[in-house]
Amino acid sequence: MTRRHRSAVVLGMAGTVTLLLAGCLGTGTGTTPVEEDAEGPLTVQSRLAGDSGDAVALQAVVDAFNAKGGGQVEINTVPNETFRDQLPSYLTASNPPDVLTLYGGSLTRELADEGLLLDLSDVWEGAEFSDGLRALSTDSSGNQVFIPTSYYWLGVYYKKSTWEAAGAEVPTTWEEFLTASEALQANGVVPIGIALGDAPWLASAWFDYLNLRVNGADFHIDVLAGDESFDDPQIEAVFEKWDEILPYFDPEAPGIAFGQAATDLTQGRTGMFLAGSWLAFSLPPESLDEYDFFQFPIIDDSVPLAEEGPTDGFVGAANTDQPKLTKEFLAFLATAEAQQIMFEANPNDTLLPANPNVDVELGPDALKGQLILESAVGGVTQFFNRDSSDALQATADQALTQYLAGAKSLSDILAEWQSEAERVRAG
Amino acid sequence: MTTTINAAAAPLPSDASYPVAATKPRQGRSRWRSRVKTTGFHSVAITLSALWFFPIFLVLLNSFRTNSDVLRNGVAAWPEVFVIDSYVTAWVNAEMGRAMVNSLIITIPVVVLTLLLSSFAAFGLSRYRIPFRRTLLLLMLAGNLLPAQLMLIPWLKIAESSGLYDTLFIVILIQTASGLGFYTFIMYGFMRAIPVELQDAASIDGAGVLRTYWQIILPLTRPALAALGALSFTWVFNDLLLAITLLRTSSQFPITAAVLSLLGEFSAEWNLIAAATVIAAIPCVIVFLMFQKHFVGGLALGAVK
Amino acid sequence: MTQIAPRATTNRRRAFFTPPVVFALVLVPFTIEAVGVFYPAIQGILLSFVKWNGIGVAEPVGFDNYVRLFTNDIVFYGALGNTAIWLVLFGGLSFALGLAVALLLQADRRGVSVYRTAIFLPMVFSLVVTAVMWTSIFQPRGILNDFLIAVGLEDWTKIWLGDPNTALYAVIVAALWRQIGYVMVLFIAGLKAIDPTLHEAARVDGANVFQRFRYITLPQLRGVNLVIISLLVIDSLRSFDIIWAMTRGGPFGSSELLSTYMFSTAFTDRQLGYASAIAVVIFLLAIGVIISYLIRAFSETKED
Repeated sequence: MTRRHRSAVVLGMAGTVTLLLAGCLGTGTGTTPVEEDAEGPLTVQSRLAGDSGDAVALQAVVDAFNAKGGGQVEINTVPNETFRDQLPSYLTASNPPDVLTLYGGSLTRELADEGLLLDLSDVWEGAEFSDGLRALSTDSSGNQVFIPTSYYWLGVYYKKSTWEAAGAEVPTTWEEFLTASEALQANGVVPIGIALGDAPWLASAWFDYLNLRVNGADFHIDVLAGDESFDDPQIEAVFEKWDEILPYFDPEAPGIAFGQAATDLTQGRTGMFLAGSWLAFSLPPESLDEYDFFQFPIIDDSVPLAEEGPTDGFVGAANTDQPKLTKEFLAFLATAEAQQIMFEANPNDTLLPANPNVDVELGPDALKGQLILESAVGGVTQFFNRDSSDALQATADQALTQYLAGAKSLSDILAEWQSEAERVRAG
Repeated sequence: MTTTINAAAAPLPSDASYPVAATKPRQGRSRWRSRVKTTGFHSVAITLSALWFFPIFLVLLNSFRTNSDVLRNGVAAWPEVFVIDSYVTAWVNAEMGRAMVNSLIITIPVVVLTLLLSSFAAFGLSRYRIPFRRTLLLLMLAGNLLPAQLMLIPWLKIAESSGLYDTLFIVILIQTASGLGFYTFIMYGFMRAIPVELQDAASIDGAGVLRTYWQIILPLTRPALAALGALSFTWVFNDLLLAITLLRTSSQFPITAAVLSLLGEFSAEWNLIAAATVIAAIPCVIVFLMFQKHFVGGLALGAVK
Repeated sequence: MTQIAPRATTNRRRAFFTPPVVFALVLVPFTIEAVGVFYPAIQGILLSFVKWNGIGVAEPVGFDNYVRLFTNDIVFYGALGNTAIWLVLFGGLSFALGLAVALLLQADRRGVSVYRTAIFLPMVFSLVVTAVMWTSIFQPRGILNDFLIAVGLEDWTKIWLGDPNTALYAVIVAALWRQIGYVMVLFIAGLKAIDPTLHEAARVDGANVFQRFRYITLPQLRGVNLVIISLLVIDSLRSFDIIWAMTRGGPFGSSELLSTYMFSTAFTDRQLGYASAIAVVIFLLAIGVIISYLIRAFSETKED
């Protein structure tokens, strides 16, 4: 086949493909705005599991909204995995769910940039959220698309009795952290537990925090966005610090499942676990007061302190047939009143309300978490995958598990990570 | 020994010429031997079954534990206390009653339709000289070689454009369609073995095509149909992917998705999920036990005589 | 006495005249499959010629996905190799062990339905939970290692799911556990279809168990073998759930199969066009293996 012939064939195929797929794919950009709302209840597509505190909170606030009489709202709960996999098809459907649970970060921004999310800027006009939350909820064209309702903290969790038995003291600086790890190890405890078997993303928590502590939030965000590369010497510095605590990591970690790792912490086999407040769900509920957490130790005083504070909330679908009611509901969710209802209905002590004017009594963990997050003058990030993408998370999982297993040299790992990241960003 | 087997020539044990004398001592020895064989069989079978059953046993154990027991002691530990709360909670939280009904609404029609249609097609392809019959068969089978993930989005579009998105009906249709190639191929394999004499005898008697099908061929493939019925029930009942792609509202979800909904983003109460799984397994176990008795008995090939 | 033709290579002389209703019997299912499977399949194959992330506009790229797959993707070749291992080990052992268990449990004696049910149960329990049980059995301080230590084989303990050398095989064990029950069911149906008079005649002729197996059972099972081998090839290439649930294809891609790679490309990387290309490759592999086997099998049986 001559070259001209071949490109004609390719073009012809491309044309045919486009035509054939026109029915298959849809444009994804917004449709013309609907004048009047359609009839029927508003659907909230929720990924919050049936009896979890979050789901109970959502039900409570929905009941409150329905009681007001402005319109009816229904919750439709789907499994979390399903929600994540089907999200594109939910939003691109001709009759999408009106409201969806989601979290702040690059995924929301990406969906908004594709025109799949409802513009909520008018709802945000009266909103009382902090500037940080406003920035989080804004897409690339400056419109707000996300209503935050709660956020949580990350910390190094430990069982108090394990530490007491080992004579280890809760650290605030890096040196103290090393000392505590030594003490634990000397007492036969594996200092740092982690579950790489089925939750390799846990390693990203360590990467994020080490990067935040060594290089600061700005650099961390730049790396995730692709403006800095993974084989940069500043990243190497992160791993140099990590090398100092590497001996304290659980050598069995590559084969350990998350449930097992939590049980290890409970049974005192491991000493600490860097995790979000959701770790509490994997600890025996009747003995939660036996556990505590501390802020990730400070490495460099000159680096502005940054923390991770993943934020959850709600979005509206751009193609909804009830935009007015959707905005009313989302506006209600943004108020202090609604978030108070949600907070009080949630029996767990694992969240902080996003609205600063919510008047609730925080539990001891939440108070501590709040202090940690308020100390973050250098900025608050969301977590590796929320700030970048699930695809980039997969590259991190690969690189970090290789690092923790000592499978390759650091320069090889970082070079490979960078090329994988570039491949992911190229799409 | 390289004796060639010639069934027609060998005398059958019921033949009157079989020696009757000298059975007493032989009887005693063979009875002992058969008892050893039975014990041997049962010990091997019991060991095998016990080993096989072990992971399920773990699931059962976990379904009778409390969540904090599982969290404190791990999934492979003996229960501290036996409770049945998990079953009640799982039933309520996952709305299993409704999900079970949905699963049955999907599965039963699919199994019936699939067995019917595939045995029709296999019958036609194996017993008659249809042109290109082997190509057709291979083509139908080829349809099943495609990974389901390849077709999820096209299926979704079909569902949306036909207005059947989020209904059980479209799940039934697509489940049936996507199994046909497989099952036709399997039924073809079983139907091939039926000697043509039976068919000839039927047509000499004046039976039409459908009569031949119903009265001669179908009964002879009973073990195969029973096996396929049990297997297809299990496969369709346990399908998750198609259900979560084509259904959006939780009230439509079958039991597989309902069990999955007990898994939170960061939390999982394994005692609940284990209990839900046990509940979800019950229909399939019942079906399997029911179909077992159809495995009994070989083909009545002796009828030719 | 009419000759009962015992071999699979029977002279299945068909009716020379095919009644029209037979065409309907075949074409109705065929059409249903055409609409429900072939048509979406073609659309899916077309998807492999675009670049699409599921939410934006699809960008036609011709054969780029395939070029990249074959020339620039190490993971693909690793997954291909693992899939071959899976095919041979999982497929082969399913066949052999399924047959063995079916032979053991074919006779309808007392208690056999209990044993058969025990072997079949794994298929019936949701994978979400059974995968967790198997994962826990394979934990570094789980039941398997505890057992090995208890019988003095401490050197054999490993981090089964965390060691790139053992992860794939550990998952194969769990997958076999699930699969053998269903292979057994099919074999039992096939064994039941063998005329018992054949065995009787052979027994009287003096043939022992092994000879009867070799000269009667195996040949009689040829039709069923065809079916089961094809099914095992299909299932091997489609195996996804159990690997994803236990290892996600890790560690370091040591248990990555083409099916898990396709899934992660579609849902984690959100590259639906590329994932479709991988799916097409899986399809072509399946066709290649099965169709060539079937064509050979068909021609061997001297069919008319």
